[in-house]
Amino acid sequence: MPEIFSKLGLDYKLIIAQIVNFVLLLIILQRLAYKPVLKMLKNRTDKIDKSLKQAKKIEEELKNTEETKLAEIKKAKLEAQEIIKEAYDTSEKKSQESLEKTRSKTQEIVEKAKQEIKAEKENSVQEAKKEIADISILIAKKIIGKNIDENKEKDLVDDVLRKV
Amino acid sequence: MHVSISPEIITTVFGIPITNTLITSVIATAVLLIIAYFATKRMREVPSGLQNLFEAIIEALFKMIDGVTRDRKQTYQFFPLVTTIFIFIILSNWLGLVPGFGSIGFFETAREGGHSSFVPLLRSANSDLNTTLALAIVSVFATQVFGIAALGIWKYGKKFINFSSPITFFVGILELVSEVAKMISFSFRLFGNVFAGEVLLIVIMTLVPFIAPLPFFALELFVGFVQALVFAMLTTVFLKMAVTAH
Repeated sequence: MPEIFSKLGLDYKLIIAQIVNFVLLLIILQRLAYKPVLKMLKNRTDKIDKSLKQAKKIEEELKNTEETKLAEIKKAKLEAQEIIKEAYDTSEKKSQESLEKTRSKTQEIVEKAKQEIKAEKENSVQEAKKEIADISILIAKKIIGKNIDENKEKDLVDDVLRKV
Repeated sequence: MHVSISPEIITTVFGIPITNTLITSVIATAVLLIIAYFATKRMREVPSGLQNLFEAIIEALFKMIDGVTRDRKQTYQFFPLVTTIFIFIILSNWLGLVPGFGSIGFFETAREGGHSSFVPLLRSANSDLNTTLALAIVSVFATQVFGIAALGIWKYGKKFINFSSPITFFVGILELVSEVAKMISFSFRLFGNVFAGEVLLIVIMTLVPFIAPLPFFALELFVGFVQALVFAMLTTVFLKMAVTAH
């Protein structure tokens, strides 16, 4: 057996030296490199996970906000439309009312004026009648040439006028 | 042209023969430590440059191990060993392809009766059975440790020594043999691939020094990666098997 070992170049001292070398490398690398790097990798993974989750949440919130905004805008639009319609209705009504009022007032004025005119006409007719009667009596007096009883005279005129 | 299976001894310190492969192992270790130091010196949340590369490698290996274990806790347990195996093997394999490896050295006379032989100062670490066997021993030993830690010494030991029936007794012996076989297959697979690659490159470069070796270098880069991956994956699988109760 030892002959095979020496033929293969095996030497327990060398093997031990190599083992020591390797184990030292392992221990130092574990302390120096693996621990901090693995820790950092884990931290980063956690951080990325967290960030992704947060991003998702923010996106959702944004979507919600957008939806609310749209709904709000729609509502506002509807409300505005209603207000405009109401205002329009009111103004229409008011103008209609005022128009009606004006019309009735005009009617009234016209009526009044008509009545006044009628009264005036009546009056003037009455006056004219009276004047005519007076003139007629005067003419009659002149023609007849004598004075008749004042009352009788009036009755006569009235009679004549009625006949006319 | 002289190719020897055993590594060349450069010098001896405190009775330990310092071979050219051991020097390469130490260089690979030093390079890794330097890279790790600079990559993690100023860790930033947003990585760049070396930190980015280092993190990418570690993350890829972590995912690979996690894919085998399917258990985060076990992945964290196995991670240091498997990752170190992977990056150490791949770096030493690739270091062996750097110009100067196997070509810079000195001639040693006084051996083989005045016949001078070339001694390269640097040689790919895994073209030495000592290195690969050391890695295999660490891997198999760690498997036992993790198995005992996960299942308890009695439950884990029952896998190998079990008198409940003749069948389980023989299965236990087979399991024992397989642990040794694992060590041998681990070490010889890596050694064989890397050593063969070295020899192949030497032969090709001797035959056609220019252009022709290029595809073989590309092939050796690939082989270096695959062998590192195989070693790391098999270790992961064996670890997973050890911590799983049967």
